Amino acid sequence: MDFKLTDEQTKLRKEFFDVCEGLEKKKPKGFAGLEGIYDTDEGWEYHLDCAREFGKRGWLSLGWPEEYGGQGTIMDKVFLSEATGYHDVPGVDIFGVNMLAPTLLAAGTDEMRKEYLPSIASGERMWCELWSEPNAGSDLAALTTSAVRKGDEYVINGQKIWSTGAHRGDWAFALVRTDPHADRKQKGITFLLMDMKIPGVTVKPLLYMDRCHLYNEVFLDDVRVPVRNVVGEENQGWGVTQTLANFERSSLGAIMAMHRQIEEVVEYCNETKVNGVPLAKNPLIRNRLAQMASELWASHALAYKIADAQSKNEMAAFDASAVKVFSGELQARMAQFGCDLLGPYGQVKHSKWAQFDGFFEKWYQQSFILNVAMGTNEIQRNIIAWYGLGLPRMK
Amino acid sequence: MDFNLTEPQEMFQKEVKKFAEAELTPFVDIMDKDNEFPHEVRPKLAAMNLYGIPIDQKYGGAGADHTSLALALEEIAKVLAPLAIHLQLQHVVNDRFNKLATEDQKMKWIPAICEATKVGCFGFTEPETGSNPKMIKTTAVEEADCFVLNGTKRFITNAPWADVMCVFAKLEGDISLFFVETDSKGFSTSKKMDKLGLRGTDLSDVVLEDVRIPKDHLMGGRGGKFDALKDAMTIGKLCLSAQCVGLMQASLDEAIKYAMNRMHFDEPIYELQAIHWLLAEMASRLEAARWLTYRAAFLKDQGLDTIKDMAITKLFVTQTAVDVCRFGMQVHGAYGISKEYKIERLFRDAKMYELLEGTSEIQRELVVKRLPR
Repeated sequence: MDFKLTDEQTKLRKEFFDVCEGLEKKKPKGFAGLEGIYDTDEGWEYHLDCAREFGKRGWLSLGWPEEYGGQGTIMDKVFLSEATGYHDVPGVDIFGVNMLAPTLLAAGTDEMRKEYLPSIASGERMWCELWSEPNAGSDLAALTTSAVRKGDEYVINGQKIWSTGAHRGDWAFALVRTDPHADRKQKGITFLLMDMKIPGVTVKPLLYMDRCHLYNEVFLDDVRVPVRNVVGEENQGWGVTQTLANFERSSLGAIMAMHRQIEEVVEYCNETKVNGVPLAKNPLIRNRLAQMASELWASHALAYKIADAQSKNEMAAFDASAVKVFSGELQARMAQFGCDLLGPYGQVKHSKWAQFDGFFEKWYQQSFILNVAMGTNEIQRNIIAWYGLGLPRMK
Repeated sequence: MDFNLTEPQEMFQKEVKKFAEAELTPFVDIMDKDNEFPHEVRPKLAAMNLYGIPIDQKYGGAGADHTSLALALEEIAKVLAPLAIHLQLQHVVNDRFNKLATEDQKMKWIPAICEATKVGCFGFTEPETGSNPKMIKTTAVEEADCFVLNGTKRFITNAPWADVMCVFAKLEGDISLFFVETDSKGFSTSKKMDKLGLRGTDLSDVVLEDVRIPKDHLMGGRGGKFDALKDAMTIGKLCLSAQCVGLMQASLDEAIKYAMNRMHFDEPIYELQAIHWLLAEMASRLEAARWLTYRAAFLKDQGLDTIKDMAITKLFVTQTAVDVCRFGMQVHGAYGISKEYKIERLFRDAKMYELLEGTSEIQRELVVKRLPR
């Protein structure tokens, strides 16, 4: 076992951090996380600028085979994720870079890879995901959006929901039902790619509880998509999603964002006196900070272990579930701690009295979604119990 | 030991529940979405005598007990928690007048607040004093015919449109309590704050700049009002806890309703064991919090309430409310964050209670100092 990085890795990691530090200085005021990317035009432009910068450097295709313009390794991609997470810099399209590209490399044809990968690598085309439906969330295979083949096209009808950034994305990868009569609901699902600007696609905002525009409902009415846009085989889309679901959950970016918050909170506690004593000397605060730092390092180590396993093609399905549950719940606790630390000031937003620019008030609301998105933590625990511990499969 | 409510308490609880569901629901969006206080609701609250529940009938109150106050706040918070905060603050102001003002002053202010023709606000917290009352900086200086007040008060609910404010200030180095009419020269409020939850309560700073008030506006004599503050905060903790019970009940009701109707894996998610566990946890913790709160109200009615009991209640109940409302969100899955469902509001409101009337950290300190050793 060796937890030490090679000299080359250390050098590259530093370069990632240096570039992200530079990009952080250009960040619009109040920009934070996914909400920052999708909610305002200003945030979206900043995201595109960062994407183009990363694209120029070849950092959006880390770990890809060279024949598709790739360079570096999966571990390099992990280091970039640490840098973007720490500096809260956007530019890496979670859908295009983190989800679709590995899927195309695993399940797409050579023709599709050549058609779609270059614009992902350059940061020119942004993607979104059309998976969940009003009655198909954790039970995703219950989806009912239909795709009926007519000649060399599918005609698609249905409704998608919780589609992050669908109001910004150029293209989408969607799950549709192509065989409503299959003997199992997992059969008869097809994974396909579609332009979001074609007729019949209507995107409506679904505001988050803090009223930011991150999620959408997407209505598909007689949308025509060429058959050649199918990834994998018709009716075999469920298998494609099973590969993809593991690409988005090493959580290193979120973990590094928490490291940054701990650093800033420590600085605040050192500088802020209450009743003449620095908060840093308050035993209750020290205790909670130390506890969180311990848990953060545990989740960091777990995430590295997963990244290492993934780079060797040895990742188990439940590994990603474990780190998602652990780091997601930690983030929610950390957001709670931030509000508690600030006392009554922890409730204030958009004000000169809002400490940390209102970050913790915002984070308290935002962190909740981590524990229900991409399969609720109840579903993740079931996966761990079933795949990881060998317990009988249950609903 | 008797855990039953009395007949009048039960009847009152039912009446308030019916009133809250029928009359207060239309104001939810105005307060939570628009962050505005709906002034048209005040006469409705007054008609139910909700501003004067434990106040003597001769001052226009209902002459009921603190258990009834807790039950009413619970029912109102189930529908719209920020209105319960508004009622709590009016009670705290009324209670100061009742205990410390002259008979004439009582007759002037308490009935008016009960009838909703006047509104009070309560000023203790300052920019540099949230948890240590002895560090307040607002000063009162005596002149020949008046006191002159200077200072800033922070997080003052209803301040932008209140008629009268109870103000803690240091007079000759000791804490005294005054009331200030808000049309006094030198009294001003800041822009109201935008905040996470309990929206629409109109929270702001109050600046007192050479505010001159008549000498009889000193309440209960000079100095020694640290006890008056502790008394006010003790009632405040009971009121907050009662509201948290309401929030938790509303969360549980919403979670059960959602779980019964949400189909997944070909059946309502209510049938899934993961959901059973969440609902069972919510129900168990709610019951513990409810009875701790009712016990606090009982102690208050018996005159046996202590700082320790109220701090224990506030600590446990507000923390539990955050957990229970979070579990309720979790039952809702992704829909939990949608404005289409009530649960996200309950989740945001719950966190606020942990931060008000002394954070959980302060409550722990109050408890530990009073444990037998």
